[in-house]
This record gives sequence, C-alpha cells and structure tokens, in this order.
Amino acid sequence: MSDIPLLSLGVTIRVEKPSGAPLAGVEVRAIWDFANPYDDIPDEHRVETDEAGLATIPIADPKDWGRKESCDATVTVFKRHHGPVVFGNAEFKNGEARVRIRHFLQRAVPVEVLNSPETQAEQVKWGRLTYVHEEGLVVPASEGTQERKISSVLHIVLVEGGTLGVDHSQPLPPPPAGVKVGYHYHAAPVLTRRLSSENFPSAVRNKLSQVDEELIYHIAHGDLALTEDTDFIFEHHHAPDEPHDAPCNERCRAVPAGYELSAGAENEPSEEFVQLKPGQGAGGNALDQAAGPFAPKVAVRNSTFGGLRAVLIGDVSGPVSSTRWPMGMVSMKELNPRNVVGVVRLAKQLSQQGVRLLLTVGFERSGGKDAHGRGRAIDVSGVSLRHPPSFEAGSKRAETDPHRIVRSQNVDLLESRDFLVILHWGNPDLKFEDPNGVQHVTRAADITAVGRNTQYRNDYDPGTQSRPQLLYRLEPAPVRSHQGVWKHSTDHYTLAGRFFRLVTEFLMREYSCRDRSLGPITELPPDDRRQAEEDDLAPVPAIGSVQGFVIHPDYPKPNQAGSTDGRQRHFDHIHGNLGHNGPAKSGASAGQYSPANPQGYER
Amino acid sequence: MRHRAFDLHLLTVDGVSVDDSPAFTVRQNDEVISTGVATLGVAQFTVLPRSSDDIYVSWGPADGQSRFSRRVSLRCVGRGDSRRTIEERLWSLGYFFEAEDDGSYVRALERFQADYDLGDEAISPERVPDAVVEQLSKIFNENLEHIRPAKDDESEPDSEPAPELTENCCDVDFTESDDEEATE
Repeated sequence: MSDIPLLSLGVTIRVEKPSGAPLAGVEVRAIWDFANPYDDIPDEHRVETDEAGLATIPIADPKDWGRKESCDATVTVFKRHHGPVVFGNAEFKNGEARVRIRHFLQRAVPVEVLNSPETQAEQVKWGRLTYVHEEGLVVPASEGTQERKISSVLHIVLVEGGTLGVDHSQPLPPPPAGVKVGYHYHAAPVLTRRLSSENFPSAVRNKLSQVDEELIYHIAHGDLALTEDTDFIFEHHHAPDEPHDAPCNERCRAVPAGYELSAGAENEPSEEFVQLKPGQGAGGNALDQAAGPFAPKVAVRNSTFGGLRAVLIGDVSGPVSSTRWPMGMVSMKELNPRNVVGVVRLAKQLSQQGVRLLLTVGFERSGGKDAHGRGRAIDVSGVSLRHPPSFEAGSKRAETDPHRIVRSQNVDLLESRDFLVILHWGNPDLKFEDPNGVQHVTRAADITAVGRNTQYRNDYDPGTQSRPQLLYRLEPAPVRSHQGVWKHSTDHYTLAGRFFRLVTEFLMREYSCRDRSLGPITELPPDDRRQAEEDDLAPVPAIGSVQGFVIHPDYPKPNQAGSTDGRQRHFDHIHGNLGHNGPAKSGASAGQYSPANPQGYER
Repeated sequence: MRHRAFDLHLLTVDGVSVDDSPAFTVRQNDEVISTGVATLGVAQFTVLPRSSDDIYVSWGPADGQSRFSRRVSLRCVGRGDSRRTIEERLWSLGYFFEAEDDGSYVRALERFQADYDLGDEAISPERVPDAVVEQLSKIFNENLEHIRPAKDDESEPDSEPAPELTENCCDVDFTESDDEEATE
C-alpha cells in the first residue's frame, strides 16, 4: 500500500454580517474562467456556508491551467433578505454579492480581489472585501467537529434588512403622486436630537423608529458595524411568491438585540444592556429614581465608523509643550443608539474632509449617571489626517481595514496632520470684543486658572448682554505671537480652525445646545416645543456667543470654583451631548424626565 | 503480478485531513478506474501493474455540485529521491512552481523547508538538503495524520513600551446651575 497526501486546492470564504457574525446557509456559486474537461466536475461550483459562515470553493489543478500563473473566478453569494454593502449614496438592494478573484500559483498571498467596490480610497469602510492570509482565524468547535484554524479567508459581507434603512440626515425624495405620506416622511433633514426613538415601547413595535432606520442605513452603507451582541435582529414576512431579492416590506421588523422580538412579549431590554435601571443604582437613591427609563445601549465595532477611526488620546492635560502623546483604542460599548447616529453623521462629514482619526478622551463612563455614563455624549479632543502611525508601514488596504486594532502607542505630533484642541485651540491667545466693538487678545493661560471668572456675553441670557463677547480665536488664524506654545504655519491653524468649527457647529446644530428635548417635535409638550422649534429653525449660533451643552475653549461661561461645566475644563476638548446631562436636581421640570414628560432624557 | 494499491489522504486547503467522507472518482487515461467513498478522507484504489501514468482524482459531496480535483503522478510514492520525484511530491502537497524553471523550483523547496522548520541550508536545483528530501519521503511513506505543521500565532513586538491609557472623560458636572436654568 502506498500513501499519497493530496492537498485540496480551493479558496475559503467566510460570509458574515458587518458585526462579524457568521452567516450560515448562504448560497455560494463560483465559476472559474477555464473549461473543465470532465463531466462529473461541474463548471459551476455550488456550496453552502456552514454554521461558521465558511465554504470552500474548489480550484482545478494548476496542471490544467494551460501554463498560466493565475486563474480567475467569479464568486457570488446570496441569502434571502440580504444584500452587499453599498458605498456613498448608492441605493441598497437585496441580492447577491458578486466578487471577481484571481488565484495565483506561487504567491505567498495567493488570492487577489479584482473588483473591490469603489470607495474613497483612504476611508475606513466596513463591508469592503478583505482577503486575510495567515491570520489564524479560529473556527470554534461544533457538534462533530473540532476547533480548527483557517490560514486564508476571503471575507464577504452581506447586510440583512438593509432596505429598511433610511438616511434621515438628507431630505427624503417626494413621494409618488397619490401616495399617502406616512409618519416618517420629511422633506427636510431631521436633526439628530429630533429623530424618533422608541426605547421602551409598551407593545410590540410595528414600525422602526427613525434612529433605528438610520442605524440600519449606515450599516448598509459601510459606515457602521454594531457588535454581534447589540446588532439588529430581523423578522421577515414575505409571501412565498415574492422574488428572492425583494426588498423588506412593511411587515418585516427589526429591533436591536436588547429587545425581545417574539410577538406579545414585553419589550424590556435584556439585562446585559442595562447598566443601571431606575432605582437600581447604588443604594437605589433618589438620583436614580429620577433618571427614568434607561435606553438599551449599542456597541460600535472596533470604534470605526463614518469612514474613520475613533481613538483615545491619553494625558494631554500634561505639559502643552509635549511633542508626544499616547493613543490607543477607545471604548464605544455602551452608547445610546441616538448618539451613534450622531457620531456617524459627524464622522462622515469629517472623513470627507480627509480626517482619518477622531481623537477623544472617551465617550462613556460605565455606570455614571451623567450623559457620558449613559452613552449620550461625545468629547472631541482633536482630529488627525493620518491613519494610526503603526499602520503606515502596511499597505493601503491594511490602513483602511476596519478590522485592525489600534494598539497603544506614543505618537509624535505632526504639523498639518494632527490637530489637538488642547494645543491648537485651547492654547493660542483668546479673543474678545468689548461692548464698544474693540477687539482684545489675552493670553490663554489667563483663562485656564479657576480664578479667572470672567463671564462673557451669552446670547441666550439677557442678563449678560452688556458683557464682552468672546470670539472664535482661530478665525482668522492667529499670528505666531498669539499662537501660544505651539508655533505653526498659518495653514495649520487655518485647518485647525476649519475642523474645530465643523465639529462645534455640528454639535450645536444636531445635538443639544439650549434645546434639550429629544424626539419628534410633534411629540413634545408645549413648553418644550416652543423652545425646540425656535432652536431648530435658527441659524447655528456663532462660536463663543452662547452657552448650552456644547462646551469648548471659547465657551462664555467660566468654571465656578468646584464646577466643571465651564471653559477651563474644556480647553482640551469639545463636549456635546444629547438630551439632559443628568437627572433633575429637584423634581421634574420642563424638558426633564418624568413619566408624564419623557422627552429629553433616555430616548 | 499484483495490482498496485494506494491510499489517497485527502487534505483540506489548510493542509489537515478531511474529516468527512467525500465521494471520489479516480481516472487514468480518461477512464474511470475507481469510485467510492473516502472514509474519513482516505480514498483507496488500485491501478494496473507497472502503470505509472498520471491519475486524475476528484472528490466532493455525493450530489456532485462541487468537486475538488487534482492530477497526481504516481511517481511521488516510493523511496526514490530524483528531481522528478521531489517535484511531484511538492506539487501534490501544494508547493507549486513553473515547469522547467529552476528558480521557481528552488523557491518551492524553500517554502517547504521553512514551513517544516528544516533549517536554512542553501538549496540549489542540483543540491537539495537531506533534511528536505527525507521529510518529503517521510510524508509520502508514513501515514501522517496532520501533514502541515501548525504554527503559533505571531505578533509584532512593540518598539517601545505601550503607554497606559485610561478613559478620562471630562468630568462634566452639569448640576443645572442657576444661570442655565434661566435659559430654559
């Protein structure tokens, strides 16, 4: 008896959701570009993915390739109610994903993807085709099989229910003549704070909220991936005779994984998404009692969204003369879904301007009772036009691969690439205009001391109208003598001013500045509604002219002794949040949570 | 003279034994010489005495919707260590190279040498290290359950100690100060 070990030649593919969850039962078809001479070997290979989302497409022996060094194939994957990620503003459709691949005879990385979807090449997008070689993907053991390691995998992403997604940041197209306009129709963009959200419905939900619709839209367009545990769960109700690639219909439903889906069940969030229910906090104190409903949270996969990565920057409150700053992964595991919509909208605008890193000192504090603790806030500490420096030695594909983990590292500051609020907004000299219209410049150091209690004019407060008016110190770009410690080119400060303006104005327009109510304006109590309508329709206030929940280095209010809501505590970041920061100090007032007035808090 | 009997150990694309039992077909000179089920990935068949022509093997699920296939030279079995035998063994294991291209042949040998951790002795078309020749022979003449050695995960060392990073959100204490209440 003679033994001959014989290696199967094939390409292993893994079909998965943007969350990384495997998709089983996906139909995979592959046709190689050369004819097969034998009747029992089909020209078209058909396989189905297993429970791990894996399937292997056979390749004919290279001896039959006709002395070519490579062979090409067309691979299609299909699962009902699913479709491939689309980029930009393209319409998402259910249907098959089609991939052209080239398999090389001798290369160390044997497969090349030929038709990677077109995106802005530098942006970090989910759902792009990725071929991973020698990464050691571990396939867990299942019944009858042992744990195994896969050396090379082509990842293909399919999105479930993507046709349910709606981009509410854009006006919806007019409905066809004669079609009745539904609840969600809007001819103008919907601000993030105005999106409908149903966190604690009393009955099974029959209609997606606008927050959920937009989350699904961003997932379907490669701008977001939730983690497997917090992703949406879908129920589809298609008639048997409907085409297999028919879009989801009005009977199809989707809910975040935090809710029970089964009909008739109370839609309580599952325990794992509830950090602190009312009355269940430390000691069940009054603060918790006043907190009201606690929205289930979602987690952003790998802190990558909207074409960029969010990274944590370390101790930038140290010496501002430091040229190095630490950077690493930031947690985005317990965010309010509305906040996720907001940060994706912001990131999309920034990444279109070339931003690759959103620098932050963190989104959340686990168990905290303020907006950060409840996942409804964002702190922007800066932006960078580069991918993480540790990725720069890799290929362009590696730099833009959203699966890559940002490892903690010290980063050298680069002019015209890195823009930090602490260095490039909080540090240059502050500008203000006195009531006589004369502009003054003062050293920024003077405002960082708690003792400097200058209250500048706040357009929302009639009592401050006679005060000096703070101006946005970065426009025009400060000359060198007013740049503080960091002497940069005018171009650097011009760019810094542009990026920080984009972030600050976005937060004032979309998040809660003065108006703290959340949800559609038609659902607000009269007092909240008047305020909300006024702020929704008003132009974005000038930076430095108003107080609210968007706080930054040119915020009119100083920190009172012991307080943390003034400009001294925000000379290194821009703070924004959705809804009230925390429970009411004493009872429920307009805009704060009470069972009769649920707007403005956990929505 | 007896027929020659063979065991074909079918391996996955990752080089480990197939753990199910696919249907297989063996052809020689365009004639089907054997069909059956490769129990636990082992296909057994015989060929005529003195037959040394290539065989063509295909395997896959019984419904035939997807079939792997390989062309195999029977020269790869036995104790020989001629270049032809080494080439056929490499090819069978998936170490491909361009025919009649010495450089390509050497690179395939070097990949095999590295994968099996067989030292770094220089390789030329005329001089293949004994360790490489012996390992190839061993694979084809001993029943090795797992053919390709598993490698430990490798990670790049940090060039400098990673900084400690902790989330340090702004400790915003919005206690609804009087002036803010007045704005509502």
